[in-house]
Amino acid sequence: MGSLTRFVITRIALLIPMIWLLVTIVFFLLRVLPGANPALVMNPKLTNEQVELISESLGLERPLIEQYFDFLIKTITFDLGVSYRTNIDIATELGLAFGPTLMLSVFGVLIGVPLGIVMGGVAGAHRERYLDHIIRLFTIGIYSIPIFLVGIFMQMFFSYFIPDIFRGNPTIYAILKEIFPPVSLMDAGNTGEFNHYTEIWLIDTILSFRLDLTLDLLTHLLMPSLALGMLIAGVIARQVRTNMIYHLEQEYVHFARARGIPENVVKYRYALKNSVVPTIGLISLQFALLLAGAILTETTFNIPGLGRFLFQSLQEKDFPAVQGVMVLFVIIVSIVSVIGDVLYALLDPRITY
Amino acid sequence: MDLSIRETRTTNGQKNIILSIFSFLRQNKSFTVGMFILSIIVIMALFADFLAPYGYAERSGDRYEAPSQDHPFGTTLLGFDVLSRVIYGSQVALIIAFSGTILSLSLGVPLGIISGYFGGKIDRLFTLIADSIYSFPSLLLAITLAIYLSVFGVLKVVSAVAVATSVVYIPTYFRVVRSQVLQIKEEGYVKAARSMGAKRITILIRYIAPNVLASTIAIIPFNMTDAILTNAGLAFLGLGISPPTADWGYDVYDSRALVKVRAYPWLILFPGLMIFLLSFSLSLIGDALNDKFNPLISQKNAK
Repeated sequence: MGSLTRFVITRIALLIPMIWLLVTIVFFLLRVLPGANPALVMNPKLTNEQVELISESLGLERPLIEQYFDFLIKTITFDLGVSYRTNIDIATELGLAFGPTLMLSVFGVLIGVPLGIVMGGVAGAHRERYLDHIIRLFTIGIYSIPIFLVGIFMQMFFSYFIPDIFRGNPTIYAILKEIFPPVSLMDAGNTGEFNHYTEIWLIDTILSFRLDLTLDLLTHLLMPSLALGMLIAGVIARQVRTNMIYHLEQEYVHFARARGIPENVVKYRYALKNSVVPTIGLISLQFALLLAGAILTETTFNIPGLGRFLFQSLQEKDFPAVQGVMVLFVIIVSIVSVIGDVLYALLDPRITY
Repeated sequence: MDLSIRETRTTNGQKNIILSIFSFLRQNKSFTVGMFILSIIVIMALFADFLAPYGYAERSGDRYEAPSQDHPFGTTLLGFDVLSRVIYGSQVALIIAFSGTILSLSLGVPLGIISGYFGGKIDRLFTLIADSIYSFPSLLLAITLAIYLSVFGVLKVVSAVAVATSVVYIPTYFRVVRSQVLQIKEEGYVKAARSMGAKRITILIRYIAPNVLASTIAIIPFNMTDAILTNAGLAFLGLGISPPTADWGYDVYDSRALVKVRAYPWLILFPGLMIFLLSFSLSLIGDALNDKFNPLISQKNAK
């Protein structure tokens, strides 16, 4: 067995203790820390009947250690209880909400990562010159605006302000309104018009041969993905720039120049390539940021994903639902960190295990 | 920073430290601009009582008045003056940024020093805990803590948000400090002190702590930025500081509906702009410090 295969297998095996540890933190945060009935702590206005029902379903009268093992077993079997808000099984709800979040995150990464690499590379190559300063201002600026404000301003600008300029020209107005729809993931009612095979609507609409709906979905995803992508791009650009500056001072770069290799090849093929590889590790570490961004972006754009589900559960003080979302997020974070590590190992030939 | 100060001192003597600070500011435009914006906001917070035309929860006009001479930034649903709320909001924002940072510094740094210096089982335990908190999604952690701390009523809501945001940053300080201590404790002067029979506590406080603190400087501004942004994020999820306290995050949350943004844009624009300006100034400072202290970036080619 090759060393890489062995590494991948060990890393995947390590997933189990990592998820166990993080799920334990969730248990500690949600069950031990509040001291009393956590649902009551979250929502003091519950009726006695509801409180009894909850303490029964959570097994609150039993000792903590028993509750803990019960919680672990329920997590493994994905038995997350029933939401107070909708009376639907939480695992089912999460399954429905997962698709939109996945689409948003994937498109956010697809926009953000290349943009960040290009910006970071250019900034590093133009260190302390005006391109560097402009990119630096952009990356710092985008990091400093709360992402929900970015979302709100984008909606105001593209969905209302720009179309309003072209109000005199109905065709352009209609096209703009079509490209930058103000809210939600799809036009209302459209979700019933295709077969829900995977609940990842992008795949479902294609499989149902409703490419018009796919296009509609993509236009609705454009602005939220851009908002999330810019946040990711800013973080990555900063890291790539730092690495780029480091690599441009290394001997292999001087040597490549001395051999007469064109400057652009030296900068953007040699140095940039080496600057990007360590960033892969960063992307998986920054996944928590992406999740936070996704929660807030979904709430802003009213996307029916995990983030909005969490938001609604928080608004309604729905304890089992909040607990369920946290468990799922923790599992996602663990899996992404493994994917990041494996990608890093595949890309960096120096690393042997 | 170090270099420029030393050079001026040798040529001009001790008293020209002010000059050397100026030369540092001239070289670091982003640092200077960041400091400038930050000091204006600090002044706003300190003299809010004199600067604000009305109280932050005083019905000084009709509902949703557009910006006018009496109310330069307009009024809210309840007739509160937006300008006054923006000015008073700087107090809350700075309290959260500073108290959150002090809290995470005062826990992360000592734990990192202890963990790095003593090693062994303590080190492994602390590192495990720090790593798990580090990989736990920070907004989720803040959300959970904010729920409990605010519901318990043990702490006031302002400090609840500060605690929630600071816990997230403890592992960051812990990691940086720990790795620094691992290097420093093998340095000659620490070994010399130990061989002369200095007490452990003396070595920790007099020789190791001052050298470690430098490595945390570049993190502090980003910590403050994140505290402000997390506070805004919590407020946006409805978990922030409860009204009528003037909080930018709450004001943005309260006026986030697109219908409202279209009809009364000043409600979201000004508090949103203030959140941006404060985080932006802190990030500028942090970025300048990062360029100075990041070991990956050498100083020789910098202008």
